[in-house]
Amino acid sequence: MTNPILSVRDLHVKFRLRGRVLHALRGIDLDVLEGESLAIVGESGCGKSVLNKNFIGLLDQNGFIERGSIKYFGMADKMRNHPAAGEDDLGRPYIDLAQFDDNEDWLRIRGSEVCMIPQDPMTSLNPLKTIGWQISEALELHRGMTGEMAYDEVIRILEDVRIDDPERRYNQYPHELSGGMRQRIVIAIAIACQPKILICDEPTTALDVTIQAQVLTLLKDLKAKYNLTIIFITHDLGVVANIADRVAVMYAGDIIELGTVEDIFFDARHPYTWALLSSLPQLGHRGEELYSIKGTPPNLFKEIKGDAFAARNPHALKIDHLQQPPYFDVSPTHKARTWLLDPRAPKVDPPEALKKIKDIGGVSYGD
Amino acid sequence: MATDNREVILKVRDLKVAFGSRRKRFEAVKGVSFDVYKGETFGIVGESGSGKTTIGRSIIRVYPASGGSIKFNDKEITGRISKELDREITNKIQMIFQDPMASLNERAKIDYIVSEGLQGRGFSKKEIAEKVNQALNDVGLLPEFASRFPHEFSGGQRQRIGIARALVMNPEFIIADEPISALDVSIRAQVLNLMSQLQRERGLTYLFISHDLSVMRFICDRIAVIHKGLIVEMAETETLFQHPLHPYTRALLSAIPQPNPIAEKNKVLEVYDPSCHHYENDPPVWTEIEPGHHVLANQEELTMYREKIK
Repeated sequence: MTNPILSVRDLHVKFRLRGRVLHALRGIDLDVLEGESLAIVGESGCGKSVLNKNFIGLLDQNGFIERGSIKYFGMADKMRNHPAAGEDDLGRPYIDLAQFDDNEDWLRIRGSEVCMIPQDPMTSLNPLKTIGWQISEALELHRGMTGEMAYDEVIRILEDVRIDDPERRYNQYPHELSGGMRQRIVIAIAIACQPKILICDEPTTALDVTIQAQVLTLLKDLKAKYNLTIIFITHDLGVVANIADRVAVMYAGDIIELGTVEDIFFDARHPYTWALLSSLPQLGHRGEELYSIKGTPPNLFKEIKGDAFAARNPHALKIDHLQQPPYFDVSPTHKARTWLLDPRAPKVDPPEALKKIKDIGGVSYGD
Repeated sequence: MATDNREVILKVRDLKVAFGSRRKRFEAVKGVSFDVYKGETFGIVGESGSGKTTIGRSIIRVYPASGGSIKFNDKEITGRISKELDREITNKIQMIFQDPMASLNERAKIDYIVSEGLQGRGFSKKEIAEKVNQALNDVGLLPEFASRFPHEFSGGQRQRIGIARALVMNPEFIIADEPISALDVSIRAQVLNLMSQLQRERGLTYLFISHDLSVMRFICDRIAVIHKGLIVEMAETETLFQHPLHPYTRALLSAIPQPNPIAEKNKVLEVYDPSCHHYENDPPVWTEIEPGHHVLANQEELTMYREKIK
């Protein structure tokens, strides 16, 4: 098995809002393995973006880490003397990002180690600067390149993200490019920093389907070429199926199921994952009711007792309302947080509709 | 399905919409023709900039048509029309917008937002209040929500308010422009179900504009694929998905992300290259290649497509 590059343990993040405290992340345990692409899925407000903002130190001002650790194994030798550094049980040196409080520390992580591609390429580029300027800025800050060397590198990176005619694009401004091209430029800026981990926050939701497919292919190629670890935040399960090796399903600030992409799509165990998959329009029949999850996610201002999904779960057991379930292992790669996997629980079959997942997709044309 | 004897509610013929003045004229819609039958859901799918929203907006008379005709219930509604007709079609054609976060007036209460279309039409205050309550009830919201402000609602609830605002006018025809694109997966299902339920109960006709083909496959009876202001293919939903003919349709279908990791990893992307057409000497014609299945193609391509259908 590959080694984790990032290891999150019992992470609790809270926000102070108008005198109240919102418990946004409720004890996250997650290993991000070196070289994988991990997808984090969930409804809006489940905490998937908050979790990732912890990895680059961009948590909002009113948010704070209550407890827990985020061990990063990627840059051990460079920061050995830092107070947050340490060694794990296997003797591998790490640095605990949860203990950072100085922006100076974060400057060594952000960009050169962990990079983020924001959602909307329309708003994430500077409209007043040329494409070339924006990419070479990253080169200068993170790799100390200037002048002709930087120019050549920018041209090379632009070719890497498949922008044609890079010499001309170098002097163009963001408004001259289409949405798909702008997203490629944002990816180019991220790649220019040569990070080890690339966080993609819904990078394709603002794009058209055909462009989306091209950007996903590009990301996969870049991942292989630059040996990247990719964390993908999305709510589009089609995109997840395309790009992910492993999937973490989040609900109300907690990871409720984690497994390989096949585990999640073909052998999901948590009722929330079932519900999420069943509400896909691809599984519905025209003219019939589409499955929808009843109710709303729990209020995270209040303390959650038992399983957070219990109130909306048609298969909820009595214990779901009383005690939070632990993780049950389904296989070495697959675990889920539901009492249904307890040996004492009654046997509940996943919804019939999920069997159809195997048949959808592929080339469905008559020829 | 025999489409001939069904009642046509909207007849669009050679519609053109242009923006800008003579020198910088841009034709967003370059002559599209289609019929929408009463009680069906007709989908228009295309990428951004293809002109799908422009078609919707010119039907509702926001953008004037620069050519062609739109007939609603056999009455011409483009160009100069009488006040009575204008009022009638404003009642009968309503719109649901894409982003429920942006399409509700943040300063107005829900009862005002929903009732705005009824104001100045000779209804008493009591009648308006009754109609608003009824509309809220129809979309599954409680009557007491009427005195609240939009910011107190979630995205799904806001979209229901948007639907209630359209329903209160008692329309026959609803233009839904990307009504669920801005919503979460789980809420999408709720809004789609609500739309189908209202269609069954009231015999509504929908014009569903979207770029998401997987949603369209679920909700639409017929789909038109639009590319750069021209409809390139139109067919009943399943026909379109089973035998896409035009290369652009095929590219669009191959790009839909499917929630099946095995199929996704083996999928082959088709990329549409307009230079695959040889239209210089043999211009394309809008042809009905099999009953109900139209495609934009020249003679050479039509022969090829006919081979494929067999």
